[in-house]
Amino acid sequence: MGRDPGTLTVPVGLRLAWLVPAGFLAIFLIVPLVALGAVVADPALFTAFADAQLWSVAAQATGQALISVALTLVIGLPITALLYRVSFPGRRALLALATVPFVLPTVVVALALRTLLGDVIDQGLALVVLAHVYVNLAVVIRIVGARWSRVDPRTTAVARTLGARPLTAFWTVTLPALRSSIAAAGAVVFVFCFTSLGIIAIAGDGSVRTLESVIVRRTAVLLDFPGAVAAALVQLAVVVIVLILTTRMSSVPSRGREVIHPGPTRPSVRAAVLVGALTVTVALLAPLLTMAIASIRAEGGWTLAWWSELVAGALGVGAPRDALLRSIGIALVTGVIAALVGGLAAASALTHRLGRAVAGVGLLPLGVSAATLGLGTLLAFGRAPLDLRATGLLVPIAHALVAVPLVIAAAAPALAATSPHRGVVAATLGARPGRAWWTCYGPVVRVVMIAAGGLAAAVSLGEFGAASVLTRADSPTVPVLIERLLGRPGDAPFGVAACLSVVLMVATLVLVIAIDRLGRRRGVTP
Amino acid sequence: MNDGLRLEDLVIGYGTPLRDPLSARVEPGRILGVLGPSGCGKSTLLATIAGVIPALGGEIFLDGRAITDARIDERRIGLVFQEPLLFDHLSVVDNVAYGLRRQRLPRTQARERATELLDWIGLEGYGHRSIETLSGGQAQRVALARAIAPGPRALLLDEPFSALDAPLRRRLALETRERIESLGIPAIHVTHDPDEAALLCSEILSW
Repeated sequence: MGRDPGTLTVPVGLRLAWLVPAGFLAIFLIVPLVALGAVVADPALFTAFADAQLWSVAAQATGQALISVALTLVIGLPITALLYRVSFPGRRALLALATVPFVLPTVVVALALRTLLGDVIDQGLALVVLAHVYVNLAVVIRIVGARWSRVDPRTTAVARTLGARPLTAFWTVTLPALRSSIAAAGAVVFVFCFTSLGIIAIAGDGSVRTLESVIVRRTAVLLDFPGAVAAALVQLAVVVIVLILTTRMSSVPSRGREVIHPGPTRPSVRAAVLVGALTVTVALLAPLLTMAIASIRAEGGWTLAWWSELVAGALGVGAPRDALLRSIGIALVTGVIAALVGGLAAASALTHRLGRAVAGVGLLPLGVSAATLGLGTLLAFGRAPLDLRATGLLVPIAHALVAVPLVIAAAAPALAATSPHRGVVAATLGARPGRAWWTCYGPVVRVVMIAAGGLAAAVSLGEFGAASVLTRADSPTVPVLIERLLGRPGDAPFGVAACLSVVLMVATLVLVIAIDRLGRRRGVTP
Repeated sequence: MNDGLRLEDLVIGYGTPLRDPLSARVEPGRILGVLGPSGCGKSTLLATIAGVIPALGGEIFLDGRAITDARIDERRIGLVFQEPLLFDHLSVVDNVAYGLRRQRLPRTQARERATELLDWIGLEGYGHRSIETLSGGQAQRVALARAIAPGPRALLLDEPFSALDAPLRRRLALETRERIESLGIPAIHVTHDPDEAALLCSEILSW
């Protein structure tokens, strides 16, 4: 009596499954964090904190992130209104397209915008901000759109009947209803821009910096670990403060059902909507197409030379083909580790109190930047007495740490939403605990593990921060190689970088689309 | 001087006509009930009269003046839906004062007038409450007060009592009828409930 029906059918093996993610996280997350913490006792850390340059970069990154947030909201809110408030042909396709820049590797996006706008805008703050806007539009569109689609349009109609002009109705009724979602979206965009690295490296001109770029430089170039830890701690503090402030502002849940306006009836409005949709489509597609074209363009015309170089070339910074194979290998290992650790953590959260705690710990890397994770991993396992760098496992382990929170966030709700009653029914029909549990959760677990592995692989393919810190000079990943190629003179390095970007772009999109389709078919949203 | 609400061969619909042109007249202080099943276009009729969507043909006259092409915020037609649709970031009194503020009445005066209206609908002392603290019936009364506050020249009621229990529905219907009669403005009430229509309306048009 009173027992949770779910606990009746949990096999003994699964009750101990939390040990796997717990062991992985204890070794590869907690030990690196402890290694970072050990630097806190180093007197050199205080000198690093006293460095005016650190605070200057923090202030510059804050300013850059605030400008990026403001511009992303200014551009993103009208697009959100278009996509969530008006029905028009191709609305769903455009919504999917708007999400694409967010899932692409940041170095690819930055290079695409640099290629498209290079003649008009020099590398520097303006290009960095534009790239941030391009990537983060999806954040505003998805977060604010989810709320906006649930604001009953009749509320605005009531305000209008009470004498409010369109702008007044928006300002006094719609905007207050969206306030919490705008704050939430703004905070997420701020964190992404404040901790940006790939875009800073490719679209910046050296004068634009973030604390993340300071961490990488001090770790990988200057070998100044106390300086890197100081930057990581300042960055972490800012991120935590922003997230706490926003959580307080964003406590209003979305209510009501989704309401999309019927298509506009006035021809002038209909024309404006279609022109707007077309403009957004072109603006979203242009950088991606430019990238594809750049991979087959040379001074004299069309060429496949860069693709040949990709297969056979070396270019002095590492063979592109080797980097590609390396990145694919790392993505596969990352996918397996993250799916196993994240999936088991999510499953353990269903069955065990300690499992829930482990799943909670697994979410920790969300608040810690990739470069910080890379730095911690390097401090713990990248030097004597335990140097794992030669094993080639450090990068996939760091990538798995970056991906595990995403896997848990995708898998846990799907598993929690599965009713345990089917397992109870299976048990009453004679199924042993393991069989009964699998009858209930098996179909979801299978989908979640495949989708989670794919998601982690996609994250790994484009990951730049941890890889910058952890890859050795002779074994770069594709994003690291792209950055190195762009530092070389001549057309060939740029052409090959464009080819690599196209490969990353296509591979990421194929993975994300496959995961999305798999999730939709099985009712799981990874 | 209110000359009532007149519809002449009004064609309604989202792009394509929903039904045959409609002609009707509602005298000041009277309530025309439009009775019909769900999906027959009752709400579309009110949305068209209020100016939420454009008329596909015909004319709408209010006080003898054609308002068919007038902007929604210039028509001065109050609209109350089945759900109260109160502005949840505003207090009860500020919800009622919303339309008065749009008429550029200073905040203090708007709140005084709104408070008087709240007294009138039996919600004395509720002004500074959050709307989340109201019951369904109280919220619907506030919605009615909000629609009446800026002095509309006509009132449109889109099944405003259908979500309430029967005794409360009956009481609010009678109260609303009294108020519309005392305000001397024309009103249209759409519903699928013949009993509610009989209780509230002066005339009934079956769709």
